[in-house]
This record gives sequence, structure tokens and C-alpha cells, in this order.
Amino acid sequence: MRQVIDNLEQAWPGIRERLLDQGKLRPNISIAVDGEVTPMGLLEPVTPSSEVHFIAAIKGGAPAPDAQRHL
Amino acid sequence: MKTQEYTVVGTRPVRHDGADKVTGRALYGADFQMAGLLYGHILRSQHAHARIRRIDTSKAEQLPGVKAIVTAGDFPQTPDRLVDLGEGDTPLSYARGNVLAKGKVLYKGHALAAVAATNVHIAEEAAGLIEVEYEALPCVLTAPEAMQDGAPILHDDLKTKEFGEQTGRVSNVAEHFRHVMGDVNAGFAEADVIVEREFHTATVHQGYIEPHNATALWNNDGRILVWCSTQGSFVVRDVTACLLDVPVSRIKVTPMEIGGGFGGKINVYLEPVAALLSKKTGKPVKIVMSRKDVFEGTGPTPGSYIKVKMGARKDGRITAAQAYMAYEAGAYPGSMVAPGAMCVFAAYDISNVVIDGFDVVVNKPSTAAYRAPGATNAAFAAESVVDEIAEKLGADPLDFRLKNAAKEGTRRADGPKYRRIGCVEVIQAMKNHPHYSAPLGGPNRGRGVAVGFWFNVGLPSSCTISVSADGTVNLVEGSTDIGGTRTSIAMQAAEVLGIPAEDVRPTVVDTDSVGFTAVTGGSRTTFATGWAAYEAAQDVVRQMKERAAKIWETEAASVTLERGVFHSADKRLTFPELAAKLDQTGGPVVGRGAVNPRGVGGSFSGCIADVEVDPETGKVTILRFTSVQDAGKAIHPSYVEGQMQGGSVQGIGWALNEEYYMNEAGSMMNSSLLDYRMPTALDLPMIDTVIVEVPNPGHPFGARGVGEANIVPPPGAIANAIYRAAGVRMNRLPMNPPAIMQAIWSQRD
Repeated sequence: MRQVIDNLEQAWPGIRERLLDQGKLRPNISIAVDGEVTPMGLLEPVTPSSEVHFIAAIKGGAPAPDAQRHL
Repeated sequence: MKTQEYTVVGTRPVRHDGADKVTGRALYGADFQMAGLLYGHILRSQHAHARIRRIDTSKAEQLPGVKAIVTAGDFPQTPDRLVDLGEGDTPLSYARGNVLAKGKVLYKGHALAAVAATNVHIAEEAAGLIEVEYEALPCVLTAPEAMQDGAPILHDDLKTKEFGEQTGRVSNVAEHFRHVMGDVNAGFAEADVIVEREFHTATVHQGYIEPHNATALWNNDGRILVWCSTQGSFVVRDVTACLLDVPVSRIKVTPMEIGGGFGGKINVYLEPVAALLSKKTGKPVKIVMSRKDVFEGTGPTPGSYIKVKMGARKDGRITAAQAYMAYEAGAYPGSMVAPGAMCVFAAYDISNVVIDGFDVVVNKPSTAAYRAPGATNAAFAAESVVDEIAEKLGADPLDFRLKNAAKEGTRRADGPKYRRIGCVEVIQAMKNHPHYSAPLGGPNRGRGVAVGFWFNVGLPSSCTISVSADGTVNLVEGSTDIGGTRTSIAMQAAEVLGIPAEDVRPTVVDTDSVGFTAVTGGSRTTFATGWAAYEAAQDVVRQMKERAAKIWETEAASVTLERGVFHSADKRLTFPELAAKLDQTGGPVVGRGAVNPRGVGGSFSGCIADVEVDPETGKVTILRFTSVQDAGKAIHPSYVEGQMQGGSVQGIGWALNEEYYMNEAGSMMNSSLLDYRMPTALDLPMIDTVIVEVPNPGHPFGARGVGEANIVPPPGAIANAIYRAAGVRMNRLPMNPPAIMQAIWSQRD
């Protein structure tokens, strides 16, 4: 996923800052790969056919306050 | 996965903590006692919005028995920064500011100062002697009002973030986001029927019976010990550490029994304050909220304004849907609009969707999670519109929903495609239930249906299991038990070990005694902590097989475990027989399980509600109510049914009675359980339950979380039932007698 974000940054400069804070996935964002939210974040492996979504993090019943959505 | 594959999972053993709970021996936070204990009391704001000019504690300090007073100035003066308190980035100043106000009070009930004294009466009296000089400011109480130009601004530093970018515009709108899928204009152009309606929902509280409480001791060795009622002991530890600027290793949190939470006991209010008072006095300090404190000082769920537009073709297919959702965050950003937006159309396969969400601060208590947070508001709006479209098309309400139901592969508007879900199965079960075709049996009666969704979450959990010589096991876990999870977790371990659930002794322990475990919330506990127990039990089995192999002088790989009996060739040992031989074969066996699981399975729920509306008074009587929910696999069916009944009742209360009744000055006028009317057993019929089991392929036993989705559909179903009983479409919660009479009179006019 880190590589995916690097590639996205090349195509759409500035997107990395939306997703990462000091190199870490912002806590208000979850990554869903092929329809499933992964707990591995940037360490999640993906394949060329994987579908990736950055969605609002929901942690135990409450949402993150300023979640980035559907990018 | 069929029930008969299991010997423990799917059965209904007596809960392990049952005897203590029904005999009053279970210890709750308010029961906590300790030598030298002092009692705390919080002074709260009388204004909904005001600058704090001065706080003078000198008179209060002179009162005999008063030992310490703290205000926001007693927090460490660390610079403001963004902190992750388990729910995303939050400015530290906001997190501290909600615990003890600094500079401004933002809602009536906002904590201003705290007193520790030798008894609670002195503490209360002293709090009354604290002089606060306010500069009163105009308040704003609803999202639409707070979004208007010229509205009173709560935070001078809050700038609207729009579509992920800072606008630099100071306003009460913390964020505006949008989900877009397909072409919504083309979808509406294709529709034969379009319905567009506006909805308002009131602020409501979770209404847990046990008020918040906390005892803290700032010990001489620098360690801070906390005993409290919480849904997440590790959250309390981490938030308290952050607010007090100490390492997490300096804090130990012991969760006491919890008398309900429903999402509202995730947030931290008292623990850092009790710790500050303890630091000043050197004594343990206990603070217990009153019911008024709970209503005015803790997080309810947001009130909201929602506009839904939906279009469908004559053939019954929904072609487009649009939602505008403005949720009240309360005093600080972070309303539940994000999950509300993700859930609003989650039950349907719709190609063209636009959803706009607005997170709006208002002068009410900072909101907290409440059972499927944000989804109930959303479903009330969406399910009312779906019902109206079905009516306009002449379609049966459930057939219409079935035709458009989400299924595996359906893409939600927020992006991901569903994996295996049970939406169709739930609606089909509703249709098949005899309730749906039973006669209503009288005038002024109507039947309504609705469906709803909640994601459920995974998150980390830890467990250890140690084997006793008598063949029982001790299971240590970190999930506070709100709804019987000691037992549902123990059952999953028992299933693996092949022993009865009663032979597993589950204990919820403090934060020093178990690995990190996230909150009891998000319907995750049976799923994730159950999974940790499953892994710990597997670890025990692996070690026990090695012990059996040692005894039998064979390879561990040749040993099998079947229904509690270890086998290898013609040799056999029952679990207790082998447990008795552990000392001679290498010592104790302790299994561990630590997970951060994927494979979370969302849950759909539906309900059928029959109501009778008194045309003279507007009173609604629930005649019959059936709740249907996909549990994946019901680990303990009685607890699943209990969750469904509890969620349904809370949804009924939200629909018919409950609201923060505010005056223009921002004071809650009904901050007692006499005036904030929650339904009781006398108000309700038996809530019938139907458990649907569409196994979650992501869990060892197929479990999905069941704690939340059941609260989502009741308001929509009851609104639809009221329409059929009284001929009025309700667009506002609660649908109490005045609201219904107003709607009836408006229609007559």
C-alpha cells in the first residue's frame, strides 16, 4: 500500500499528504482492499488487480472526527 | 456451518457472571472503597455558551473538609497538538477542553472545576462556593442554524475542511465531505417516481442505567491507578496518559463491572480529573456522576437534519439516491455523520448516488457513539422515503426492498463492494414471518417495516488461557463485559478445547494484566476477542498434544483432539485427565491469543412494527414488534436475542419519546429519567426475534457482530406504521403525541 500511495502521489501530487501524516496513515483513515478493511494499513500487500479504497475509520462504534473519504 | 457441527457454540449456557449480577455481589465503580478515599464533585457551566472571565476558588477552599480544587489550569501546560485518542486526530486542547473547560464554556453542563473533599456533600457545597464570572454569548443549538451565515461561532480556530482541503474559513462546519457514485442526474432522469423529503431527529442519550464514575490514585511512586466504568480500559489508560502528559506505562486501569454503555462509555470524562485531584491530595479520589451530570455533561448521539431524494422506475428498480446530512457534533468536531453517510443507502444496490455530509458544532454536549452511531438517523430518513416510493409504485414494501437489496458484490457509495452479507436473507425472513401477514385487527392501526445496516469492526484483542489441574481453564481477557461477552468468548474457547462452557472461567482484568484490547464497541467483542480466545485455545491444544505425545512416547502430530478427548492410535486421555498430568510433563500450560483480525462481517437487521395511533391524543401504542437480524453464527443465541430486543427497545424510545428538550438558552429541560422518557417493559409488547444465520466466512465460527444493527430500523418502521395507521408521514423524531397531532391537524388543514 505504501507503494500504491507513492504511485498515486506521482499521478496526483498532494494526495500523500491527505493520506499520511509523517509517513504514517492518518488515524482517521482506513484502507479497504477488495472490499475488506485491513488492519495492516500501509503494510497490506496488494496485487495489480486489487481494488483499494480509503474510507473513514470507524473504531469501535465511533467515527474519526475528520475522516477523509472516497478519494 | 451448521449448529450441529458444534457442541458449545450455538447453545445457551448460564452466564458466568450471572450469580454475582443477580445477587448484587458484582462490584461497580460506585461500590469502590479504599482507605483514605476522598469524594469529588464537578462544577458545571450554567451557560450554554460563554467566555470564562474568572474562576475564584478561594471561598470553596476555605470550607472545612475540602482538600483540593482543580481547573483546566491544572493540566500540564503542553503545547496544543493533534493527538490520536483512538478515534482519529483531535486537537489536544479540544480533548482537554471537554474534560475541564478553558477559555469558554460550550454547553450547559460543561465541566469547569472539580473539588475533592472528605465527603460528597462537602464537595458539592464547595463547588457551589466557586465563583465563576462569565461573559454570556448567544448559543446555537441545531445544525441548520449553526451553518447559517452570522451564526454564533463556537471555536475561533475551527476552519471548515471541504472535500479534504482546508478552506481557511472559520465556521461551525468542521467538515463537508461527499460520496459520489455513477451519475445521479441521469439516474433521476430515468426515474418514473421521485420522492424528496426533509427530516429532523432530536438529540438522544444512550440512557445507560449506571452513571459514569471513576476513582483514581496518583501513587507515591508516580503510578496512577484508576478504577472506573468503561467500555475500554485501554482507551481510558491512553487518553488519561495523553491528557496528563505521562507515559501509558504509568497508568493502570481496572475496569469495574459496567451497567450499560451503548457507545457512551468509550469517551473519558472523569478519570483525568480524579487523577489531578489525587495528585494534589495524595489520596484516592472517587467521582460519581448524577443522572443530571450524565445527561448534561456526557455525550449523547447527534441530532440531525437530513434530506433524502430517491427515484425509481415503474419496474421497481431504484435508479438514483441523494442525501444531504448535517449532524450535530455537539461542542467539538466529530459527529457520527461519517458512518451515517456510509449507512444511509447501505441496504440497497443503487448505481447513482450522491451523499453530502456535514459535521457541525453546536452548543450541546460533545456527542459520543450510540449503538450503530449515525445509522439510525440515516435509516429513519431513507426508509421513510423508500416506503413512500414503494407505495407510489403500488409495490409491497418488502418486495420493493428485496428487488433492490444489496448483496455480495454490491458497491456501497463510499466505495467498497460487499463481501458475503445477509441483507436479502433478512428481508426474506421478514416476509416469511407470520407477523407480516397477520391481520391488524382494528381501526387506527398500521404496520411498517424497515431495514438497517451496521459495519461492525475488528480491532486488536488479547487473551490468555491457563489450564488448571482439574481440567478447567482460566481465561483472561481485556474486554469489559456489557452484554454477556464473558460467556460468548468463553464458549468459543470451550468449543476448541472440547470442554463445557462452564469449565472455562473468564475474567476481565486490568490493563497491566492482559495485552492491548480495544473497546467493547463496534459489535466487535464476540467477533474479535472471541477470535483471540479461539487462538489462545488453539495454542493450549497444541501444547496439550505435545504433553500427550510425551506421555505416549509418540509424535505430537499423531495426537488428535475430538470433543475433549486426546487420541493417538488406541490411546486416549480426556482433557481433565491430561490436565492432571501437566506438572509431570513439563509444567503449566498457558495459551495465548493476540489478534487484529480482518474478515469483519457487517450485519443487516430489519423489523416489523404494528402500531395503534389514538387519533384524539396522538399516543402511539406498539402492538407487536418483530426484530430480524443476521448474526452470521449466533454463538449464544440468548444473548443475540437480548441484543436484538435491547436495540429494538432503544430504537422505539428514539422513535416515540426520547429527546433533549432544550430551551432557547440551551438548557436541557428534562435531564432526569422521569422527564426523559425511555420505554419500560410496561410500554412494550414482547419483542419477537428471528436470528438469521448467514455465516461470516471471515470468522472461525462465522460470527458477525450483533450489538448495533438492531437499533437502526425501528424509527423508520414505526414511522411507516404510523402512516398506515393515521395517514400522516412523520418527518421528525421523536414522533411523540404533540408531533403526531400537529401532523394530523396540518393534514386536515
